[in-house]
Amino acid sequence: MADDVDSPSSSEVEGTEDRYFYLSDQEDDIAENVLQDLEDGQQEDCSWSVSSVITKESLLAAQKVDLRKVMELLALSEHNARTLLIHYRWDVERVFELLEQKGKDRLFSEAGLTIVENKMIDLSSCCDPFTCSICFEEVSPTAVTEMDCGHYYCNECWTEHFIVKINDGQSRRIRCMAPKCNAICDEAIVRSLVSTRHPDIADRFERFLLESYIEDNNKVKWCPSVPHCGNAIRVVGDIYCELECICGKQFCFSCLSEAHSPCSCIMWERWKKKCHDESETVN
Amino acid sequence: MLDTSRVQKELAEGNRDTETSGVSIALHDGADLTHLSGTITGPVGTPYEGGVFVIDIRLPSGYPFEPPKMQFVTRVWHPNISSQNGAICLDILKDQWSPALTLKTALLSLQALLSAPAPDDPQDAVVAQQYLRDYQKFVGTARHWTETFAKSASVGMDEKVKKLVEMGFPEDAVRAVLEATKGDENMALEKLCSG
Repeated sequence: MADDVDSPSSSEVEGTEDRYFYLSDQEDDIAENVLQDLEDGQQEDCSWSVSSVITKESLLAAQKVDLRKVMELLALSEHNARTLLIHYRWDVERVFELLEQKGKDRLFSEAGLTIVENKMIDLSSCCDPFTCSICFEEVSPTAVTEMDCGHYYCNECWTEHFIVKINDGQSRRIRCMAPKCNAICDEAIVRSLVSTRHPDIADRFERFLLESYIEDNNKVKWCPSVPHCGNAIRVVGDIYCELECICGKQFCFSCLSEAHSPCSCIMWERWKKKCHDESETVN
Repeated sequence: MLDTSRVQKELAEGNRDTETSGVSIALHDGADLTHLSGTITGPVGTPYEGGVFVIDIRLPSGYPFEPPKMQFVTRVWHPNISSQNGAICLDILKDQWSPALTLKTALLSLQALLSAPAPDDPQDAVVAQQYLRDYQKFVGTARHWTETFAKSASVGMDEKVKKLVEMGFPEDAVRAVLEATKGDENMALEKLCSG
């Protein structure tokens, strides 16, 4: 093992690790595309080519493109489409693939999407006070909210639940409060209930949802620039490629370290380790 | 902030059918609503039968939106409970907690855990190994621990009797009263004084 680290044999370079190489002719395309995106500027509905930069401003638009595709095909509301896409890591093609394989019901239930056509009771029409099964307090039916899954609790308890989950960093998948209920809460309800009491936490929730497009997405990564330029990069096709962000940072999309072709990621990692280890003895 | 009104309601509700459920909840030291103590009886037909297990319960400030912290005080030999410190490995006390669950349902789940160990997801690797490799030996050890630690209430009883007898009450009366108050010294003393 130690030999490998110190002097990778040439056969290894040319042989087994071939698949980690990047084709140099592809790189030109990438550079061109980045440049073109630069020129296109704020054009929102540009078609994604090999790679594109997502700035803070275009993040929302980029997310909307994918959301709209799913909303249209499956006739879903935005929040349901988002729940589905977060679960399947924003891979629209995979969602459509799984739809054919598994069918709508399983696709939805595995993502925590519950759509109850006929709600059990009509809360607004009954006027008896309702006892919330969480705080055990009697509340007026107007202060009760029912989720898509059919479970209903008082607004105070829902709000408290949302705040705990948001503070816990679980904004993207806030589950219903009922035991063993897998349903994800409607983001519109989360937004409206939380913002009346804690606008700052509601803002944070909004940001988490937006950033999910980057963080729960295999094809999009934050630019690794330090200090961070605020941009993210999206690739189409092979994720083993090198890119340049509009901030000027060049990097490898796969391992996020500086561009290192034609060296493979693993070998680059070993090289850096070797340099680091040796620097201790050199000085 | 801790929902004190819910905790108080839970305390009242939780002790309503102690006889049949085998579960009870009480304040640990009388004033602090965040520190409770629960007991469960060992399920019939298990090596824990006949034992009474005390569980320390701490309520975080976010309760019931955060799970209660529970830990066995009584030492117990079980794959999902640490034989060292009583830490419990149970999903509903972690990520599967729901605010709609209560202290009572959590304690009932612990009781169910005693009946149905899950050695594939162990808290105590040594116990889990024994459970899987030598079940008979596991049952023997678990029963022995129940006898030694979970029935110590009767051992403690002798001490309580001695203490009250030293105060000048007749031993027969002390035993009878302690029996009636289920070993609660203070209540026994009150009864002895008033009677």
